Amino acid sequence: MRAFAACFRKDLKRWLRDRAALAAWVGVPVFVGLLLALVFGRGEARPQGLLLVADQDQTLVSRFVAQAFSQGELGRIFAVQPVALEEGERRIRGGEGSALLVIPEGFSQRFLRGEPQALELYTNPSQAILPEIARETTEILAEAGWYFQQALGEELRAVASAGAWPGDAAIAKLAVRASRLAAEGQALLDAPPIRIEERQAERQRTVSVTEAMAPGVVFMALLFLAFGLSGDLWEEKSAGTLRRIAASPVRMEWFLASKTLAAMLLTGVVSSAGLALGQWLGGGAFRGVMASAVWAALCGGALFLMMALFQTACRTERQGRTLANAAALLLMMAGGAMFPFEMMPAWMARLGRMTPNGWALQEMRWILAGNDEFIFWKSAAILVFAGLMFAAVSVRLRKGFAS
Amino acid sequence: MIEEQASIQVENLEKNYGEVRAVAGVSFDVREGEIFGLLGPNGAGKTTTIHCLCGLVEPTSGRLRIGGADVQRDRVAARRQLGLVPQELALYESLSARENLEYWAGLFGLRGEELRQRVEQALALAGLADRGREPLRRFSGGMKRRLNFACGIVHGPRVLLLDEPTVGVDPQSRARLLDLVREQARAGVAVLYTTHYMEEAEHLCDRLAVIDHGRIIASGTLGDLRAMAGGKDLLRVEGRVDGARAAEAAARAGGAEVLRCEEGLLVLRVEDGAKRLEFILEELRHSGAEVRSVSLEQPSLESLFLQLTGRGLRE
Repeated sequence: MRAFAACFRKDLKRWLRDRAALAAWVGVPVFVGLLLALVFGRGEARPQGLLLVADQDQTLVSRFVAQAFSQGELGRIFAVQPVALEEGERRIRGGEGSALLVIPEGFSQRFLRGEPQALELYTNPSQAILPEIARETTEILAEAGWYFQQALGEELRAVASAGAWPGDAAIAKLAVRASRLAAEGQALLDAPPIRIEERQAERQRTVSVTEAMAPGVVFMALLFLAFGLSGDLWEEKSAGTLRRIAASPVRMEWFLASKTLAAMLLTGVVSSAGLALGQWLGGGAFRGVMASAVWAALCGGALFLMMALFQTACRTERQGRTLANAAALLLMMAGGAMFPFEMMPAWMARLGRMTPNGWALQEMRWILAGNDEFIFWKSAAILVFAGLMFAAVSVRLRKGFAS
Repeated sequence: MIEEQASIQVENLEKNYGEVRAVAGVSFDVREGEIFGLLGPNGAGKTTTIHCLCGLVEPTSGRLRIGGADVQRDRVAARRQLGLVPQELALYESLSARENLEYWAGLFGLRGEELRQRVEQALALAGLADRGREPLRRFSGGMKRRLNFACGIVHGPRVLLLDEPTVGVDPQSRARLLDLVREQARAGVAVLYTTHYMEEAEHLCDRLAVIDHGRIIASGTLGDLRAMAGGKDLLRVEGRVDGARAAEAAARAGGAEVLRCEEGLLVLRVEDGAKRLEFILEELRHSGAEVRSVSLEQPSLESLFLQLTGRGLRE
């Protein structure tokens, strides 16, 4: 245990004194984070999409549908632009806009008569979040519209038949009738509509740029740290200190465990700083910051061991560093650390989420959203993965690498 | 013959790397307070022997004991008694001298007051008491060498293995290091010292083994080895010499024997060389040799090695 403590103190001192390396490990992700903040602003920043609306009906009801996307929170997410059908189709095919909503001719009449009909929504396959929001919003609108028509069909038909724009009295009458209906049908309306709105609110909360990017930036720092710290094994080997340790009574497992613990501590501190910065930039959007920092430290240890395996699997330092560097870069890019999954094509995002760091990143986002279900079992999974890496690196250290 | 009370016991050590035989049946022992030299050219098997003793390399066969503990079966007990001073500077550059010593002492389980005292002693021994808090990057090569040595003895080992510790060291630091080794031996530590510097081995070691191609070709005290060399001097003649004629000339001179003859160099083993030098040179001139320079050496390890292998130690 004393030997373990001696190794742990030694590594921590050495790593903290290597200021240039520390600055690079922490500085690069912080720089990326600040750059994002500069581009997108703090807290309220969200990606804004363009919703093209081809209103072929041009009636009061169809205008209600189109205007629904300009109201409240949706208005911040979408810029709604009326277009002719041909122009809309051309633009969405060219990748312009998040979605094209087509309101067909006769929509208003069929709606008022309560006949089945369809709203057409063309989504942009190169985007992930915004078309999904448009699709869900349209579904909610269709469902709400059906209930509205069932309850107030008669009044609506009266208003619609009044001409281009109904008078204030007709609008007021409709509003009073709707209010009474709402009061009478409270019990009936409670369950399903409220569930839909909650889903909508949750989806909107996850699209903040800071929230999407900050965990990725933290994992970028973790991978940088894991790569840099694992290279220490080659430094110890070339200096001869590793051989000297191997000739001491200390088991290689203790030596590796102390290094892993020091790496976990360092990654925990760096992650905490990164998450605190993300919290500030995101205007306090994160909830489980402490739990996420602990999660990051666990992941940092596992990633350190994985990189150590890449480093020690090779015969020469150059081979080891090249392999670990390539792996770190690949994992950074595929695992959502460099580019959020939302910016990737669906197939790539699916693959990325299957990488060890991609999975861990998803979990961190989940924890940051305030969910800590199954965290014990997920931590246990990380520990099992780290244990396997540990065993493999220990064998490599004992069988040849250290001597 | 292996003595039971020896601190280091090596018996029939063999180490093969595939087809290459690095160590081929080496046996020796080192007692408490004794400095035992393993002398041989580069690649002779010295470092492999040390690595087998440390447990860094698994021997192919043979029996190795440190302080009575079997190196392979009772690894931890053997290593606890061991101090290693490797050829390279196995130190942490970003730590101070004191921190380096504290770390290596900590690996052997020392702590608290005992650790502090041992570190102070080691710093004083290495002549670094006033530089303990400085980072190593400010140290000269000689200071680092002394610290490298101090790290090997800070935990008070019973057995000290030194693997060519003076390679690339200036004469002043070398003398200081050799003094440190002698101090350890005086304190009862068994020292195994490998080198290819014959002067060092001659001045430092109580007993020696000459190793070449993984085999011990001679061993004993310096006196024993000198006797093996026949007590004869070594005469080196440089110039244009014909081998067959030189051999005839040596025979005519009497008491001279050709050890080596190649282009530009003739090496003779001569009895009472100082008295016979003039006569031998005369005979060589008569045989048609053109002598440019001559040197006469007392019997030494170099001459023994040359006698046994036909090669110089540093060739």
